[in-house]
Amino acid sequence: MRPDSACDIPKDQLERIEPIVDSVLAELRRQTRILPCQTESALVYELGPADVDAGAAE
Amino acid sequence: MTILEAAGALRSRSISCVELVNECLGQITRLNPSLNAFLTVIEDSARAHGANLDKELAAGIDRGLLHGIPIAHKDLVYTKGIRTTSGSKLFADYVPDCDAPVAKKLSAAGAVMIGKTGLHELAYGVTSDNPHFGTIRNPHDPERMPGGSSGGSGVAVATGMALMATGTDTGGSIRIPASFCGVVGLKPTYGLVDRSGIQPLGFSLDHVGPLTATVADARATFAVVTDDLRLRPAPAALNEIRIGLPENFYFTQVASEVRDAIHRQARLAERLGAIVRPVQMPDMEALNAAGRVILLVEASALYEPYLSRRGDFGADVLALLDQGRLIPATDYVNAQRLRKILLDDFRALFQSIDCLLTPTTPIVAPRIGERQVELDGQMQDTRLAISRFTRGMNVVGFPALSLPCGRSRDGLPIGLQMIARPFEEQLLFLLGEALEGAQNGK
Repeated sequence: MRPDSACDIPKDQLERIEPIVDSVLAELRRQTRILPCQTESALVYELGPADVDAGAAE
Repeated sequence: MTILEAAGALRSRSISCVELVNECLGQITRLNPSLNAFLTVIEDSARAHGANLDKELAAGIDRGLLHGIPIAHKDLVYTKGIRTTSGSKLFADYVPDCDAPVAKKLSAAGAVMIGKTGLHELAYGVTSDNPHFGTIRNPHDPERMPGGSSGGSGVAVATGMALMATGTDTGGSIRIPASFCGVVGLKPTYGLVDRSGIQPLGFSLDHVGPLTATVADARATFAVVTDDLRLRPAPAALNEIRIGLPENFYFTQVASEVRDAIHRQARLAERLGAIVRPVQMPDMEALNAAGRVILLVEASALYEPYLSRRGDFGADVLALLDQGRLIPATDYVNAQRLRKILLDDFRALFQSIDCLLTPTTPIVAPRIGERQVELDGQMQDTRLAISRFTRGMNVVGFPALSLPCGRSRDGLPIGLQMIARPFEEQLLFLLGEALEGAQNGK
């Protein structure tokens, strides 16, 4: 599809998750190691593997 | 010619900086019309810069190994007064008013910038088939892709159009073109090389690093672009290096000739004195899923203000940006939580090893436009397959070096990926140089 025609895509099509992305989300959602009530440090929410320094220092 | 060879020739006065620059410009004139590696070439200022550096050498001023070395920057590295497109129609006329710190450091070390290399649009893809600036082609077979997103940089170094080119890597964009073009590519530890002044893609996944002809050249460049005190020295000898050879993930869904080439490298490392042992990898499928979700969301967050200009995007990039906007915030947060868990798994793995050996890519360079590839009897999306072995290291931030390790039956380069702990790039250089030397019979 050429980008020039992309503005003609119907809204419902634009809002549909493609199978290839859906399968990635399914893989993520399968992860039982993310516990619902897990206590985590604020570091988890920092962008990036911010604590690689800590790993190096161990 | 490599950087180290050129550095020797410059100091023995068997070549001048201007002559080196002219050699690279000659290669660009000969090859760029067919390969499309460069978007911008700055002939006059490169020659003038080279002439100044010749005068400095004659006056006894030596800036180090990169003095007078012709280099190129991926066209998302900001360069003062020189157009920086990011491979996008959005920025086709953008001229930065400052240099990115990485460009500034290389220039201060005497490197001569001769131009800007092409890339996949916005660095968001692995083919370097750019709808706005044309298709970049693999020098080993122009009907094949060079990999991406730093495709122009890989081609430039493979053909001697430049002795070093910068790249960026958010899911494999340095290592994949290094693998497909038969050159060396380093994705350093996350955060080690300054990313400011470089067009981002995934805020928490982006890395900057060099593509070079040899491991020694990568080491020489790396020494210029970072002086971080956290860097660790290399081990004293190869027999102090414990190499993990994965038993799972990296040797499934991989072409047999790639698998065999990597196993040969493991045996070679063992003969050179390293200790090689089998290891079980953490959940790499989960790591890749986390990486893809994080990138989809971060890239869409970045380009959301531009998404009304739909005609300014290529179809593949626009589709990714649209999809990223549809991912719930809960999935993004959980991907980051999973990232932390898997980082702990990697730390645990590296308690018993110092380095991993894996293929960089499961296949050699595919044909341009080839959408599906067959691996282990299954058809797969080519773009997903290409980044399957590289993406994880962007998520955990460990350094990874890709170097050539032989050719396929079709004569196409195969890439070996070596992964170390954070800040242990010197270990990668030591092992990489040893393997490279042994391959070349040195």
